[in-house]
Amino acid sequence: MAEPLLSVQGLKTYFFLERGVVKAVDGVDFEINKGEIFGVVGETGCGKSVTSLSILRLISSPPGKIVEGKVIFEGENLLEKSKEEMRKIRGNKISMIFQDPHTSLDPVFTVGYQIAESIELHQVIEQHLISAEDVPKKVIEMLKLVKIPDPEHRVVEYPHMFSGGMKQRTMIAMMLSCNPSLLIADEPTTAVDVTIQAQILDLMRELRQKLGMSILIITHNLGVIAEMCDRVAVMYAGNIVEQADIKTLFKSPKHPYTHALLEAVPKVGTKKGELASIPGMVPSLITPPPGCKFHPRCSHAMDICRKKFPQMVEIGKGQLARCFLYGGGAKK
Amino acid sequence: MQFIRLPGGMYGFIIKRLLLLIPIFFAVSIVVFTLLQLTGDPARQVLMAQGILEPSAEQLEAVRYQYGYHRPVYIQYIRWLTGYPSADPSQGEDPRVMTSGLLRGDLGFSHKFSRPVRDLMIEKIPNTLILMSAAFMVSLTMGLLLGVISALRRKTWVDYSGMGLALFGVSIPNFWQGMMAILIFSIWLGWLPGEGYYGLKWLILPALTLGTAQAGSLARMTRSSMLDVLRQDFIRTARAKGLKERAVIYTHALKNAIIPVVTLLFLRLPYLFGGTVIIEVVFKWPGMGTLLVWGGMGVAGGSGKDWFIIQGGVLMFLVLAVLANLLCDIAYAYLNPKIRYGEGG
Amino acid sequence: MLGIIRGYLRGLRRSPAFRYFKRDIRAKVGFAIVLTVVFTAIFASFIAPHDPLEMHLEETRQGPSWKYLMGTDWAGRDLFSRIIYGTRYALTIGILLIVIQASIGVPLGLLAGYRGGKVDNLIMRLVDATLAMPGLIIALAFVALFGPGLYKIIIALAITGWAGYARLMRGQTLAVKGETYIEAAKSIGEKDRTIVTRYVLPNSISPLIVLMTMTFPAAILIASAMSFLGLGVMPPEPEWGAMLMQTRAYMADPWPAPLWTIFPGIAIIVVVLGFNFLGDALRDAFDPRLRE
Repeated sequence: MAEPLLSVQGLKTYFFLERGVVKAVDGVDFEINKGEIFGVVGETGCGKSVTSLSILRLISSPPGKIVEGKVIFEGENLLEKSKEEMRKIRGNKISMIFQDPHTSLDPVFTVGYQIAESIELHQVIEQHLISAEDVPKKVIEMLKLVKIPDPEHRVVEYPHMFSGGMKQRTMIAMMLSCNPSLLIADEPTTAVDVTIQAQILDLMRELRQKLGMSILIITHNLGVIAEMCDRVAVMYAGNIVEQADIKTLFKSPKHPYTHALLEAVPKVGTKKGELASIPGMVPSLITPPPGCKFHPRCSHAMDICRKKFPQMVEIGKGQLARCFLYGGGAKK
Repeated sequence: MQFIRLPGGMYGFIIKRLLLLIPIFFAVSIVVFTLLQLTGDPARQVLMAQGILEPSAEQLEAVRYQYGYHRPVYIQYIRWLTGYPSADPSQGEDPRVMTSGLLRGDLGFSHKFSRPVRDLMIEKIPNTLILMSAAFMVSLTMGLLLGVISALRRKTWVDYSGMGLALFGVSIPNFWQGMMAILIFSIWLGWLPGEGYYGLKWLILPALTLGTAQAGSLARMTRSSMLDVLRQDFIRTARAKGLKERAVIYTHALKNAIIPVVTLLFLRLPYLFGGTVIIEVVFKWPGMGTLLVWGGMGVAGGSGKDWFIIQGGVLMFLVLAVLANLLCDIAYAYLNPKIRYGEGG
Repeated sequence: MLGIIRGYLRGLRRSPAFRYFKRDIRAKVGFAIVLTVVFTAIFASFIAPHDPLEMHLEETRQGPSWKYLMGTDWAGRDLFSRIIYGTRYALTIGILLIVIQASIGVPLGLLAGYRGGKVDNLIMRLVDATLAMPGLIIALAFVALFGPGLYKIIIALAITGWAGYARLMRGQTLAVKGETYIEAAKSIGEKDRTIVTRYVLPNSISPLIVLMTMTFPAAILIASAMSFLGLGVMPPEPEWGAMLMQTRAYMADPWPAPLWTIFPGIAIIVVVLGFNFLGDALRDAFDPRLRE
């Protein structure tokens, strides 16, 4: 069993606001192995984005704070590193691409400049891997890699001249330019058309093959998960409630929430008028319900679910669920 | 007309705006011309400027014909602008007092100072421009610095005192600020002169007063623009790339934040004109402001109005206002890549 | 109509904006100052110990004393009483200017935003042209034509100042017009007049109020500047700008001459600051982005 590339242990990230403390991430554990595509899926507000931002320590520090936990990357705890060391890792060993390509690129600098920035910083200045004259060539190489047509001319254009799909590819080029071992993709396809979505996902898979990196995909779209991931974690209200490899998750989901999520996706053949939804509302992260956070909406809720918070239980090979239905600390 | 396609991008934009200047200047000239007409009796104004406060009917009649005020209004306008039709002595028009037209640089003769208005203005305009430029520099440096620093140290004592200072600066009447500056630095401490313009030393107090007045609002604008930009997604991207914080702020954030600030800066230039006039009066600065207020309006020290001076002064400030507007558009087009380079492929 | 206003006020009191506002120090201080100024202006004749125009010729150039709290000026007038009465000018100018500017600007902006098309184009060109003009210069020309005086400068300043209101109102109208609930309203046959009064106006009130509290101090400053230049309120009326025009000549005189410069200026600053505090607090309270 090789060492996992990334190991998140007991991560807790809270936001200290005037109206209360928002427990966005309240104890999250998972591991990503080399070359693996790992997905984190959940509804809006479940804490998946905050988890990814916490890994890179990009949480805005007032009002947010990583209060507990460890993030072990290549053997070292990222949460203990200095700001300077962290900076050298960002864009270099771990990269992140964001949801909205239209607002994620600086409008007043050319595309080429923005890609060159990280190459120059990490590869030329800090690591002396290539010389300054080679940077323009590398930039064009990256544009070719993400399949942007006519890169030699496009490189001096501004972001507003690119389409949404091309902007997202530019982001990918920018973030992969230093060959990171881990790419975090936060809702990479949510803001683009369906056709472009497919292209981006194909590109990501191809690059994973070519560059041998791991990918952490954050999304609320089960279709993306099904298509891309090797293993998945399902998040709800700041905790992971189920974790499994992709086949197992879709074939036999164990946690009631996962079950309900899968049911809610309309499938071909569903009769009209039968759209399933999960009753109730997403809980407040300031005052979550006592016991299991899902119990108010769970059709299998038992008495103990209202009182105690369930722990993760291992059910079979690599599948974990946080539910009293499978043990989780309940008295038999 | 609709088949002519102007070049896109920045040059096309500038050319379009420059072409627009022509009708605008015409409109301005009409406004300035109308001012004298609105007084009811231009002939009376001419005589009053010569010191004759209660002219007789014969005097009025004579002057009316001398200056051609008996002609229809549109003829008077064309004459004021171009100098044609020239004086017709058979109608009593006096070629010595007729203007040779605004387009030839003739703005009339000031009876108060016994000199052509144009000469007076050529003397004073540079002084006003010097004062305005110096004040502009001061306000730019102070305002930007204060605004950026306050934005970066948001909600700390630096921010609160910086913005407090800016708020205070915006709340002080600039003429009072000038008077206090004279009181403290000139009269009590004797460090700097507080009246007139005889050298660079005389520029310091008025430029600082005028500049700090603008700096306050500039600081507030810069701070809010910076805060807006720092909230944007691409700043998060820049940090995610591992860029040094300095690069994130000074390269990415500042460059974006400056754009609305510069635009607003030029848009507010007309306010600067008003402030300049006031400061000139306070510091007895020999520029267009004092010429307009004392020479033209005849108040607070001058005596009696001189409408040709008033026209000249108003014309100058309106022209400057139009140019400031143009500069604003050009600056914006230059800084915003969407306009500078067009929409591209 | 009354029901709408009452409903709006009730909603306002419960809104997060109001709570934020109530706790803001600037709001408290600003409100206190404004209240004091208004009170002083209304009850000036009771508060002021002397007649502001009365010249006590045997007691000229006196320093502060119990009889003359801020001393007397070169003509023997009580500085304190003159300052007190000055609040009347400040408030009158501010209120009248705002009312006139809004009365011109708001309907025009509304028209432009609601009708769109050629009307919008025309009005906005006018607005842009007006905004580009140097206000003081135009006011100067106006006074040159029609003479100085309090009401004349109010008109002069209103001519260039309405544009800000028009632009704001147009923006608000466009924003509300673009909301889908307007389409819904129209589809059930609501008349234009109803749409304007029930949807556009209530949504535009908050930014309008903010604009008003921000332009009030600007109005006072520019009006006193014009009086300073001798183009507005004329001495011996106790308007602060006019007072400062006269004291300019006496600046180098010995004590208590500096007081004649210092006190009127401080009076202006206090009033302007009060409204600026209030305006800032209001603006921040209504700004949803600042509350994260």
